[in-house]
Amino acid sequence: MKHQKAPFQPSLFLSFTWALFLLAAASVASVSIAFAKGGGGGSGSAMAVASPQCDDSGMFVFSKATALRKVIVLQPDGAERELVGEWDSSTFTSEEAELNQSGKHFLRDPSGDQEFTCPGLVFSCRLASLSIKSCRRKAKSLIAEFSLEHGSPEYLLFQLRKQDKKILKFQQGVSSSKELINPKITKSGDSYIFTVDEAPEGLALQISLQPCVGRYYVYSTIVCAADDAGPENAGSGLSGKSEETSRSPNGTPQEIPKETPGSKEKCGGYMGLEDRVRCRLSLREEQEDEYENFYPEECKAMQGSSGPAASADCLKGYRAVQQCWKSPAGPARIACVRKQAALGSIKEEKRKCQALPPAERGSCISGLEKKAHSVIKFRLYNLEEEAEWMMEKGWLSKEDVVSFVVKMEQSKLEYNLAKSKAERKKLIEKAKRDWNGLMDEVEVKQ
Amino acid sequence: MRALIAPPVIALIILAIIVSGCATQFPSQQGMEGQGRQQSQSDGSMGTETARSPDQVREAGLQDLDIAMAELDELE
Repeated sequence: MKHQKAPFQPSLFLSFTWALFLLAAASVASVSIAFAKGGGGGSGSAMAVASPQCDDSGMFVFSKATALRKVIVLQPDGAERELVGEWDSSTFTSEEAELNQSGKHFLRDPSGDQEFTCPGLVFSCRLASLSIKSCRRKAKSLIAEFSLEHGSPEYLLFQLRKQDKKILKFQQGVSSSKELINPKITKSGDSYIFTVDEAPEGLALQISLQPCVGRYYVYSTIVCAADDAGPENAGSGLSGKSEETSRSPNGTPQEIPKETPGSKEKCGGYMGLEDRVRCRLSLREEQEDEYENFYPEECKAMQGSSGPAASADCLKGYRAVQQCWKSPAGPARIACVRKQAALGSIKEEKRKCQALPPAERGSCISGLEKKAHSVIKFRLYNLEEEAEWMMEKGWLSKEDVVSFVVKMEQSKLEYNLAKSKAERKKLIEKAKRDWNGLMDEVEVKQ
Repeated sequence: MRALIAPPVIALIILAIIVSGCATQFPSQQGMEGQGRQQSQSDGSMGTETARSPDQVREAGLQDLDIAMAELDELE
């Protein structure tokens, strides 16, 4: 009898295979049950609309895991409206003045229409409009004519910038700079007239609707022309005519200044630093990179003090470090900035400069100082962004962050003007106190 | 024998295809959790959120300013 190889035992193999099959089947079944209970995106609860909210500016916000291609709402009057707005991951925010009726509304949703209630429109910055028709000086007085629609004059801030850049302010019932004598607002037909009995010379006037800073740019700016020639040469606005020229005090024709609307200059056009900061903090994501909204305060200040070339160089530096925000806060981010600034070890670079011939040493040291100061100032910039991060987490209010950012921006400007190490160190010490002051305001909501 | 072996093996292969199909369908939603959030910042920059406490944020900011002081000492 020949020897035979041990026969293959199909029963053992089959048992093993069937066991594997049953185990795999059980795994798929348990995964499917987990998803059905809402552990993933295919479940009913994750597809439902959450937290629909409607306010008296006509804005509507809600969350939904899967964005709707069109956001359509059935209004109380029975009309359907497709809303204008944007999705930010899973949250939809409409523009203001989209849902103006009060009462029950229904959001059309393939998963099931969602009912919600709106209070009705009270005020919306989107509907408000402001236009300055003219601003003239007569002797020491100032007269400006402007129109305001869908807004109240009690919320208007009047700012007058003097030749020395100082800004005088007036807001009815709130505050008034002492240098403005008897400022008042009166209604004149469809327009308003703003008058000041005595105001300094060389003024630019800005009128802004304060609740709308950062929302739809409801402000306008105009240079106030000197016009002592009399009512027959009133020019545009007050006479109702739109003339191109008026006469200056010596009788020569001069062009009547036209207003610059806020929509053109955006956040960068606000006269006050605080308003510019508040505006930028209120921007939607797609607005933030617009040139007029991006212009850093430090670079803006250089336009006047150091010239356009220095300002452009400054802006280039700010743009170069934008990629560093992708790095986590801490040493990695600073390392990124140092790389962008081409700054290695300060000690080592200083040693290399000092080893150069005297003719080259000066410019080497100067270049090193420029790079080092830019990295030091970035640390102040970084604190501003940390403050904004905490605001987005709900740890800080917008006003706390505005106040802090204004302090950091002023510190950067003062840093640029500092003449010694002692002055610069004092500014860094102040920044530490300001940072501690901000962190004392942090509230972590549970 | 082939008739006895084939069904469970084929079933396993089919199950493997189904399970791999489920795995590719869901992670884009599950994977959003715990990833760094892109946040918008006032100068058009984007930041990455990490899990930090207010005390950690305060301390990090103060340390950063201390380093700035040291850099000024090295420079001048």
